[in-house]
Amino acid sequence: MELESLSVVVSKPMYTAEISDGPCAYSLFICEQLNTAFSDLYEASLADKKDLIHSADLARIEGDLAALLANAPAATRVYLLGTEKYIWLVGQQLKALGVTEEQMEMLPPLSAERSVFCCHCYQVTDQVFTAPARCVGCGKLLAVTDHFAKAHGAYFGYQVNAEDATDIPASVELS
Amino acid sequence: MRVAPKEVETFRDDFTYSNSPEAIKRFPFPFPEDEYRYSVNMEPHTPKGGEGSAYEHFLDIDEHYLSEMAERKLVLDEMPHRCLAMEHMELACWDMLERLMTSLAQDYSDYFKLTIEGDQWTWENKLLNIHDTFTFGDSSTLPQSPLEYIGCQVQGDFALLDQRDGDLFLDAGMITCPADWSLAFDAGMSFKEWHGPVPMAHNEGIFERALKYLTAMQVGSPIRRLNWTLTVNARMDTSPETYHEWGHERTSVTPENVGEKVYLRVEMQVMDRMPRSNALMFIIRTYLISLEDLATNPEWARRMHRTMKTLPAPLIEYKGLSRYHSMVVDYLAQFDPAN
Repeated sequence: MELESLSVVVSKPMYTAEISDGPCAYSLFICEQLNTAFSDLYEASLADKKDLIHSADLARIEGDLAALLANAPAATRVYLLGTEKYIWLVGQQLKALGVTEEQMEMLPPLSAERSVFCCHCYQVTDQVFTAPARCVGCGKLLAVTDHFAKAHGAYFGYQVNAEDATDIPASVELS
Repeated sequence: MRVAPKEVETFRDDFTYSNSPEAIKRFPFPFPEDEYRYSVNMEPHTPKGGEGSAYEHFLDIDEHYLSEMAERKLVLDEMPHRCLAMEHMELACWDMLERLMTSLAQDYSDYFKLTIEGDQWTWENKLLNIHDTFTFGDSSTLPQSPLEYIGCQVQGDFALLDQRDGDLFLDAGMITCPADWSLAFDAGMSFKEWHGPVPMAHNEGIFERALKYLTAMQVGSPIRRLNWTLTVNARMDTSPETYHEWGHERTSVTPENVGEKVYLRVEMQVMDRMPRSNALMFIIRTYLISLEDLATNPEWARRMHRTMKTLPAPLIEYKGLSRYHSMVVDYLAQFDPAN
């Protein structure tokens, strides 16, 4: 067995730029930031009906989704673009409205940044690019793992030097 | 019950927890062979080992009952989020309450009594001086949620897994003595997601097989398996939430104290299908034994030495044993004539 394959954490989401754009009755495009590629995808969609939500405001999106999906047909596809946390938190809202993960097309996140859940104080620290990372809630220095929770849109973090206070690993860039 | 509950001992601070000679004798030793390897190792949860065995009843109430219930209360007082149930799990929680109450009343009638008159249930727990009458299915008639109410009266952690789309979801639980995993973080995850960090087993297809087996389970045919790790000091609550408080103990092991300081931590995991909700109840009953107590059984000591010696590096790392694993192997070597 190769060591590399041993370290793969299967809860870490994988994304592909290959978008399945088969015929469907309703296509919903949701993005945190609108870029040309996503705009083109929307324009090119051949769905009978389509909508585009461009907003970073999760509360607003939740309200919009309830209205837009109230009478959505079974053949609905939802396209999501944003930070990793954004697409999964919107994904949670969609699931609550009956949209399955198979109906969602999540595009690769716009940046390598991670959101990190602190297992000690339960706060989520956003815009983490390097590990270890300082928790915004309790200030502990957190190891950033690949264990991902869709419900939090965040990776699991724990105090990196809890066993030996002086043992702090060098900072590494996350991918 | 053959081993009566003793007075409250502690799993933190001064660590007064200890095993009587009877408790050592009945310890569920987890290694079936000399070399360590992964296996699903599930078997029907039926009695074995005879009178007084840890496998005698559906639930094992032992001499640590009062201590574990006191420890659970300490955890929940400080961190109420360690018990949670999503809205759609209400029925599963009542299923669990029924299953636990009926089996306790049947197997330990000296201590527990259940009287059912229609939907009016009366529950008596003589060990904790509890005597309540409530309406089955109506949470407002209980002093706590059904999960917390019954969970605080039975040893072990509890998870309730919702079954849908051929998968199991971690949608409710009371987790106060986990081997380093967080219910708050893992809540809502699918079977493979919450096992995400486990090394090696994913490649070997173990989770596919386990999930297939578990989703096919029927009411009335519970199964069990043993899982294990090592814990420094007799600490029940080795949760990530409190890791910053206990992590440093891993650096406190020395060749001189390893026998008394390092504990084999065994989880007897029992899975049982719930009749109304179709949820799976997952009981994680934790047992702790110091290496020096374990070594009073020469066969266990020899086998544990061989198992520890052949433990693959990714598992040493995953189980958090890196800092003291070699001291454990060296200590156990004295009990293995092959050395």
